[in-house]
Amino acid sequence: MLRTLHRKLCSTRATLFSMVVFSFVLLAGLTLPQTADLTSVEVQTLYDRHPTLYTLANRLVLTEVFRSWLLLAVIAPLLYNLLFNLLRRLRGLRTELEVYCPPLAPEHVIDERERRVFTCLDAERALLSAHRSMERAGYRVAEHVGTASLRGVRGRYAVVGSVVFHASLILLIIGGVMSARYRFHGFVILGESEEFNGSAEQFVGFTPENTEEDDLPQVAFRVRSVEVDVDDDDHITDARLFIEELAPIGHSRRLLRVNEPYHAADGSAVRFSDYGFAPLFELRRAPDDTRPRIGAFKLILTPPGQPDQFAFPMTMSEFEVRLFPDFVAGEKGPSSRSRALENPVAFISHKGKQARGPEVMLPLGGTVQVGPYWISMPKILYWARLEIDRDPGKNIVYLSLMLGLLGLCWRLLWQRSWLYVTVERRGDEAMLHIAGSSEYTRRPFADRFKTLVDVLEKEHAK
Amino acid sequence: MSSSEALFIWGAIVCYAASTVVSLILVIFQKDKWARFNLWIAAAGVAFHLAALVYRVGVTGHVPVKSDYENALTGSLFISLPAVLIAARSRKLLVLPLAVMPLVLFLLGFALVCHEPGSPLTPPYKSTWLVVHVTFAQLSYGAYSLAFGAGVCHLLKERRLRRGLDLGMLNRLPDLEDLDDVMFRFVLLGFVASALMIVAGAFWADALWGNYWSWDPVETWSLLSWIVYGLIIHLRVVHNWRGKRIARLVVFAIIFVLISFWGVNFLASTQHDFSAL
Repeated sequence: MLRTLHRKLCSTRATLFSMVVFSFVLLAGLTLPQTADLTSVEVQTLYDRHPTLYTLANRLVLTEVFRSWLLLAVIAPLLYNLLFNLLRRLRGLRTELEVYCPPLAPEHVIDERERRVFTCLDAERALLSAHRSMERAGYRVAEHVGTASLRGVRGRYAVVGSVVFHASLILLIIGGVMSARYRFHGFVILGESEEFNGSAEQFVGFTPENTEEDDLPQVAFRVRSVEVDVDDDDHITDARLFIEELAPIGHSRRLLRVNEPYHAADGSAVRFSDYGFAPLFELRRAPDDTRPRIGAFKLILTPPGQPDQFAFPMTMSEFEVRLFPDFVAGEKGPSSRSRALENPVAFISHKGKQARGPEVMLPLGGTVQVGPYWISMPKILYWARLEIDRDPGKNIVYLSLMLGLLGLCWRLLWQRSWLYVTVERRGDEAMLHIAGSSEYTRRPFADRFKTLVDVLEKEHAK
Repeated sequence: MSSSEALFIWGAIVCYAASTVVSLILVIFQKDKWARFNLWIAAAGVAFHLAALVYRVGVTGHVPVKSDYENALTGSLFISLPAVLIAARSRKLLVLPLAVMPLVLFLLGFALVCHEPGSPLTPPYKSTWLVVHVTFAQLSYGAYSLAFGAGVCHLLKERRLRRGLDLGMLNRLPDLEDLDDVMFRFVLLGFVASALMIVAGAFWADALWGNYWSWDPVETWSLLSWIVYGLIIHLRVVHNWRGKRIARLVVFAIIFVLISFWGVNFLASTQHDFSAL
């Protein structure tokens, strides 16, 4: 019974069935709302609207398709099928690389135009001539012992591509599962001159959330500065981050361009992924206050003019700010001509206990009264977002992708074709049957077949 | 839209529309002499189309993929250019552009509706992977669209032949075997190109978002359409499915391509929306 089950799981029907089931699971994940993409309020609303349907979908983990056992349960038989088919293929590879021709059956001839029969003068010579012509056309030819017939195969190494491709799929699944299980990914947002010491509190967020302090990547660095290049039209053309690596290899300075990672000694990749403005505000209780509170606030919402909030430590007040790096006063209100720091202006309002106060315009270097406070903006710094990533499955996935592409191109761009030449004797006459087929498409093979058979017919037909 | 850009796009639309009309006349009234002339009109359309694309690259300094307008402009060229090249190469497939021109015109019309002024990419999005990813994405969508065109032609002709009806204008189409062959070749090309697109996308996503795969709707729809075409290839190669059965599947599979290329932005929010860059 187990052997039957194994055989069924390894059949090509099972391959196709697994692919169809996998497609349906993906489709479910794409069409049903996924909890990971929704806020808790949206989930509750969904539940209130369709209580039965939502509960059922939830029980079947269809609301969490891509992070559930369901996906693994679908992939597992596919992996089993791939693995054992690959082993079977490897065992038969040597035979296939010899002259492997499937027995000639009517369905192997794709098109009746690739079947030709003619009476020949001298069957032995015609066969010999066919042998030579086939070899010249790149076919590896074998004579069938006991019968006057030839079989030829061209592009027999194409099968290696198939083996490589299917092996790469197995690697891809293994690498993907390793990534899903063991990958650490976190990010920090640091202003210029701020330090990161690798502790959990300094991360803005990381996954998996239950990572122990000891398992965090051993990296520490200080952000020295962010430099941004601007072209004549004030479009940002390049951004560079200068950091000082503090651990694990001691003090060394590095220049990071956007999205170009550096690899720390523990194998973690640190990548500069984004940047934004961190205006430095000074808060005074009176215009002549000599001890202002100072804070650089990282405005995370990068599109110019997006409202963001900040608060000074030890004060009960909150402020809302909109920063326009390249300020233009338009008819529809303030806007920014570009994202370059050309003419920075902040619009600040005080959020009291009852209501929000009026918005006040604050240019760089200026001081304005906002609610009960005096706020000035002496400087604008940059903040940098740094991704810290450690993924043991990534290299396996990348290797599998490279192998997969190689195997796929190899398999699909080189196709196998077969030729069969048989002599049939009818009394004194000898009939030469020539037939053939190619694996995927007919055209290149058809041209070769025609050339080859035309020559044979011209030389040997009666 | 600048006057040069408008000239190029409208030039392409007028030429493609004229080519479609001439193709219909050619097929219905069997005007063989018009075939070459028609090809020249379509080629002029491609030239205008290419000029619009080059102009856009000149203005923005990046491959045109940032907005719906740019995607439609690039995607439609990847359908019309191969269709015209194939028609120029093979007399039998002279009517192939007719099968795909309505789709090209539709995409260009959509491009005009959602036109946006061009702007350069911000530094995080400047990557060679963008060029590789997008080129193969458009190539695969173009190849699948042409396979769809050949599949429709195959089904129409096969139906008439099966019922013993007069082929009429369908007589102009290539033999069923040739259509089957062309269709499957485009499926293979599209399959390899979409594999390259997914792989390049994974590398780029890792550099851009810190993760090579995040089950984003666009990624997942692309994977789904790749699996669907993988199924078609398996059915053809392993189970020897040919002709009508494969043609039906190829025609059906275009739904997945249309959703992953165009429809997904209307269905779900995705990281692949670059319009806010």
